[in-house]
Formats: sequence, structure tokens, C-alpha cells
Amino acid sequence: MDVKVNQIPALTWNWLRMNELTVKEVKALQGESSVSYSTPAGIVEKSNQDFTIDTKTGMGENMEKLLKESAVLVHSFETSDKVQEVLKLDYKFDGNATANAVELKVADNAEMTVFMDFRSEEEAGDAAIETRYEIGENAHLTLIQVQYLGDKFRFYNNIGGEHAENGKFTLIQLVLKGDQSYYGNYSGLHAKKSELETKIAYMLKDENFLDMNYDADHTGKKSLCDIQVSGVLRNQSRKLFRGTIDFHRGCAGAVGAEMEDVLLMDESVRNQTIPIILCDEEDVSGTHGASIGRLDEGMMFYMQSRGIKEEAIYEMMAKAKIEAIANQIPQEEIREEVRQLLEK
Amino acid sequence: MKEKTRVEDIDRSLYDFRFEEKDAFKVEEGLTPDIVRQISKEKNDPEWMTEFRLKSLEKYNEIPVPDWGPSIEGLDMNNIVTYVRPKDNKMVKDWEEVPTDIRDTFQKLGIPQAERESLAGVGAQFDSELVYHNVKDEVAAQGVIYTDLESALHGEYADMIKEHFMKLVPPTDHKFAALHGAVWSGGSFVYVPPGVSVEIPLQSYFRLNAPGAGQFEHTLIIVDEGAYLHFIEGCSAPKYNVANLHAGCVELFVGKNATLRYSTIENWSKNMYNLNTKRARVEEGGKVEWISGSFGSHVSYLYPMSVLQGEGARCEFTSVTFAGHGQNLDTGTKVVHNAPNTSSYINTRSISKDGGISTFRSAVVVNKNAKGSKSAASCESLMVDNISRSDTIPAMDIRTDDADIGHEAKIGRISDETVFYLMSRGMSEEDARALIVRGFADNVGKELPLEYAVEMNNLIGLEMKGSIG
Repeated sequence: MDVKVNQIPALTWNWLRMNELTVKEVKALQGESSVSYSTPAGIVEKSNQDFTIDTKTGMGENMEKLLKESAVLVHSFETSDKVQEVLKLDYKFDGNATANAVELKVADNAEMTVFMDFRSEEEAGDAAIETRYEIGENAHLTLIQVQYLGDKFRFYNNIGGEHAENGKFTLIQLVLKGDQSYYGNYSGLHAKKSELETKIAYMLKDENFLDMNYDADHTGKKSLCDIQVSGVLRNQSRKLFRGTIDFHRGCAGAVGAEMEDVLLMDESVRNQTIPIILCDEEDVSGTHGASIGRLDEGMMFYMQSRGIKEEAIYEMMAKAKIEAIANQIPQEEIREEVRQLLEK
Repeated sequence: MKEKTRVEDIDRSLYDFRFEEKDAFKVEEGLTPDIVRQISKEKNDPEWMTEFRLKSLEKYNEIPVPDWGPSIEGLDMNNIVTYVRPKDNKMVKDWEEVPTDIRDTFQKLGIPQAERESLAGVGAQFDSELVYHNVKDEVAAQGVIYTDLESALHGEYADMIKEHFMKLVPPTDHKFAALHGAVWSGGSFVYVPPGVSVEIPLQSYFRLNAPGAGQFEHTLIIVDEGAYLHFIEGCSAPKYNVANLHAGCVELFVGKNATLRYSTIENWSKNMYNLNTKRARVEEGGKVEWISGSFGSHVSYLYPMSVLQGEGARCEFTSVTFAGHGQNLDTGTKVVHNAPNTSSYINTRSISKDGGISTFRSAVVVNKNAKGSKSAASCESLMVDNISRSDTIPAMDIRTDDADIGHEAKIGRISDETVFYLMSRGMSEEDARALIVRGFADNVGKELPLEYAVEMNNLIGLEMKGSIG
């Protein structure tokens, strides 16, 4: 079946084919993939038949429906403490079309860091995960996701959640390997001073395709969002980034920023970007910027003059783009894991 | 008590006069093959054009209404009169021969005076027909052709028109391009021969007088190799309680190393649906400069497009959009980089007030063969009050690694810090805010000839009083 996902909140010309994506020949999702973890002290795990958090998601209703039809259990991780230890969820996808459903709940004044490590046992396969979150007052949820999948793997990663007053969501995503990747996040910044911080890095090669849709929905006064996207395209790879900062009437004092930086490394790559700001409130500040291209000639000349070959310069700069985001991961052991993946 | 600033709406009283069109010839309301045939007969079209119109009508009926952009539900084509010919119409070269009431209209709009003082030639269209067209002798002596499109269609340039007409904007492009292809009437044809530089601008002015009518003029400009032209387009209409429609089409062919500056001050009345299509094709080393001020209309869909077809071709797009009460102005630009070392520069400003909605929409496409191309875009939006809306929807599609693309956008209100700074330098708050708002729209003003910049400032009609916010 074909499934429409990642639709932007305000449509533009259809000929650009950027309003949404129709994923062709999507397989029905059947059963859960294996996930290993140990729950740190202070975090309570529950399993439910359905999601208990009511929220929109970045990839949208069609993707939610697809996952719901898989009838997998929803694993819920909840905390009321400031949990220092990272909840590490190691996903091992097999060659079947699998689904996983996760809820993350951080109560008032609590903190939780979750690391999702997506790996595949097979070169090819399909996997989907939907993560919903709920962040209480003055609470902070950090979600770190690293994707390192088979070269023919297709992966759907759908996130959505709601913030209470002064609730902060930090989302760090690294897309390092995999064939077709579909990502989306919706953050409901409906409470005063609620905050979203998103940092995404990707490295695509061959005929890899990454399709993204990120929606920061501001209705809360003085709500904040900062979306940074940095990536490298090689060979015939293709990427589409949709980022929306949606200032609704009443979100006075809100500030939103999005920035994209793309390094193009081969002549057959294709980069599509649509950074949207919707503004229905006077007292806001919204900015977006994009910088897309090859390496700066001056930098190339300087590095070549220091005896570094062109190919080595590109390798170095590509890794540096990913590491610049990876280095913002607070946990050294996760940073080290990413470094090892980049060296593979 | 802090007094709220009121940024006044554009004073439209200048444009709201009209005269009765009881003696004008009109086709019936609506859009049928018979009406299209009737227009074609009235225009004395060559056979190929009649067929072209009927095929366009077929396309119009096939293509859906856009599912993006502002609502056009208030526009019912069954109520629109697509062809209105003023009484005693004939195209003349002397203002004295123009029927008195029509001449009065253009005199109130200052067109004859502008022609005398600052233009190389003028075309004036009233409803569906050109009523006046003239070009200065010295410009004509350089071989510059500036005439109405229909004369050109029957005269010595007939083959040139057939070769270029709706080739850049085919009727299949979108629903209102198809509509234009079916019912177009009036408009200008300009040809600037190789190497000729037209030092002072040409202007076409479009006036839509009849209520419930549509205006569908076609502008075709060919600037040959190494030539230069500045063309100015102005438009206005009195306000009615029924919807009016403007679905014009502008096709610009910019030759090798040629430059065309195309300036528009659009000031349609606020019952107007402005669904206009403008497109330029730029050859090697050529340049198109779009200067656009959008002030009028109830709803606008306006995105001048540049196709950079030859190596080193360039485009600049500079615009300001001012959306006030009852207006939903969806404006922007499209650029396609289709050859190596092409460059584009986009610089826009939007102001929303009194419940007005402005949307900046753009597309920058860099194709695989456009190696070494560069594009830079800067768009800024100013929200003047808390009942208005401003959206920014830019898209970039880059299909080569050898390109340098930059884009930045900002949305916000008048900065308190800037006001504070200016006040610390001795300005009153009122003056400081006025200065900031005027400065915000200055990107277009400074690109226009002085007299048009003054007109634009009058149009903005900003009246600052007290403090905004």
C-alpha cells in the first residue's frame, strides 16, 4: 500500500513535490522487534494496549494508523525523579516489517534521558517506531537517537508530544546508515516557557533517502524552539527537510529559530529544504537560515596548502559535521559509541 | 496613557472614482466556448489564435483550483464578464483623441503628465482594450517597437508573436494561465533591437473600470542581445461590492547580455482577485530585475518567475507587500537555475496590519547542469499589530553539489531596542517608529525612479502617531 506522510501545515506548489511524501509499497507492520534495556532506578515501566498520551505526531495520522494496526504493546517509561542514569533502549531489527511503540512521561520537576540505538541484523527490512512524550512543569526530557541500519533498510521514526509550563524537550538524532529513512516530530509548545531543542545530523550515501518533517507548534507564551540540522550528502543520495515554526495567536514573547547546513559532496546528490515560519502573533521573533553547498574554496585552498589531499579534506569535514552535533550529547559513553560508528 | 499607533490604510480615494460604462460593449457573464469564440471574433483573431483560445478553455475546465494559497471561493467565474470594450474604442496615439471620460480617468491617475515628464512611451488599457499607445520618436527611431499586442498580431511582427505567445507560460501551467489563454485581450508588445539601450522607461497602465469584470491583458517583451529596457507596469481600479478578476500574463524574453528591469506598482481595489502570471527567460549573460510593490487586491497570487537559461544569466527580485484590512496577499518568486554560473538574489519585505494576511512564498530550483550557480535570499516580515498574519514558505531544490545557496528569513515586530536607540539620539518615539517602518519598505523604493518611489510612499500612506504596540 502507499502511505502519505510528513505533510507540512501550510501547503505550497504541488509541482515541487515537497508538501508531503507518498511512501510506496509500505508493508503492513507485524509484531514487535527485539529491544533490550535495563530500567534505571527511578523510572517505572508499564505496558499498555494503546497510547495514553494524546498528541499529534510529526509524520501524521496515516503513520499513526499504520502503527496502530500492528497492535503492538506500548511500552511506557515514566519518572517523577531527576534520573541521572540514561535509559538505553537497544533495538535490533530483523528482516521483517516490525513496529515499536514507546511513551516517555516526565513528571513535574523531573528529568530523564533516553538513548535509542537503532541497529539491524539484516541488510534489508522495514521497521517503524512511534514515540510519544509528555513533559511536566519544569521537567526536562532528553531523547537521543542513533540510526545505524543495513544498506537496504527502510525505517520510519515518528515522534510527538506535549509540554507543560517550562517543560523542555531536547531531541538529538543522528542518521548514520540506512537506505530509506522517514523522520517526523511534533512538539506541542502550548504552555508558558515550554521549550524544544532539536539537533539533527545525517550522513547519506549511495541512493539513500531521508525525508523529514519537524513541527514546533507554539501557543504558549514565551515558548522557545531551536531546530538545527546539519548533514552530508554523497553519491546519489537525496534528502528533504521540512521544518515549521508555527506561532499561533497568544504565544506572545515566543522565539523560534531554525538553521540548516548541508554539505554537498557529489554531483548527483539532491537536497530539498522548506523551512516555514507561520506567524499569527505580533510579539514573536522567528528566524530561519539555510546554507547549502560545497566546501568553502578558501578553506579548501588553506587545507590543501597544508598538505592535505582533497579527498581527505572532504572526509574530515563530513565527519566534523556529524561530530559537531554528536559532541552535544552529554554522555561520554554515547559520544564514544558514535565516534566508533563514524570510524567504521 | 500610552497611545496606540495607527498605521493608516492606503488612501484609495484617488483611485475610487469611476464612470458609467453603460455604452460599453460586453460579452455575457461566464465562460463558455461560445463566449470565447465571440471574443475571438471581436478581436479579429487569426485562425490559430481562435483554436488556441478554445484549447485553453478546455485546459481551464480540466485543471483544478489550487489546493494551496488563499481562498478564492468568492470568485465565481459565472459572474465575471471576460470582455468589456469601452464605447467608441479605438487605439490612438494622441491623448486628445481618447474619449473624454476615459482621458479624464488617466489624467486623474497622472499618466499623461508622467509620459511628458519621465517616460519614453506609454500604453493605457481601459477594461479589455488599449485606448492609447505612443512611443517617443527618438526611441522609435532606434528601432524600438512598443505597440499593442493585437496590432502586432496582425502586422509585420505576427510571426514573432506566434513564436513567443504563451510559450513561457503555457495554458497548461495552471488554471488561471489557461483562463488567460482563453480570454486574453489587450496588453503590449515591446521589442528592443540588439545593442539598443532605452535610457528612460516605458510604461503600461491598466485600469479596470467595469464592475464584475475581468482584465486579461498580455504583455510580451523581447529584449534582444546586449539591449537594455526598463518597463513599468501600473494598475488600479475603483472599488465595487462585486468581485473583479485580473488574470494577466507577462512573458519576458531577455537576450544574450541584455538587461530588463520590470517594475510594478500594483494597486488594485480591494475587491480584486489578482491571479497574475509573470515569467522571464534569460539567456547567456543576461539579467532580469523584478521590482514589485503589492498594495492592492483582496486576494493576490503573484510570483514572478525567472528561468535562467543561459550561462551566467542573473536575476534580482526586490519586493514589498503591504497587506491591510480584508487583504490576503500571497506573493513571492520562483527561480530556476538552468545553466552554469547563474545567480539569483531575492530581497523581500512584507508588512501586515489591521487583520491583513501576507505570505511570502518562493522556490529556488538549481538543476543538475547549473554548476557554479549561486542564490541568496533574504525575506523579512513585520507584524504591525496582533490581529494580522504573516507566513513565510520558501522552498529550495538543489540538484548539484556545485552550488552555493543561502537563505535567511526573519519575522518580528518593531524592535523596542531600536526605538530606544533612536530616541536616545533625540528623536520622538513617534518619529522613530515612523522611520523604522518607512526604512523597512525602502528596499523597493530605492530601486524605483524617483517619481515612482514618491508614488509608492504615497501609497503606503503611513501615518504614525504615538507608539506601535
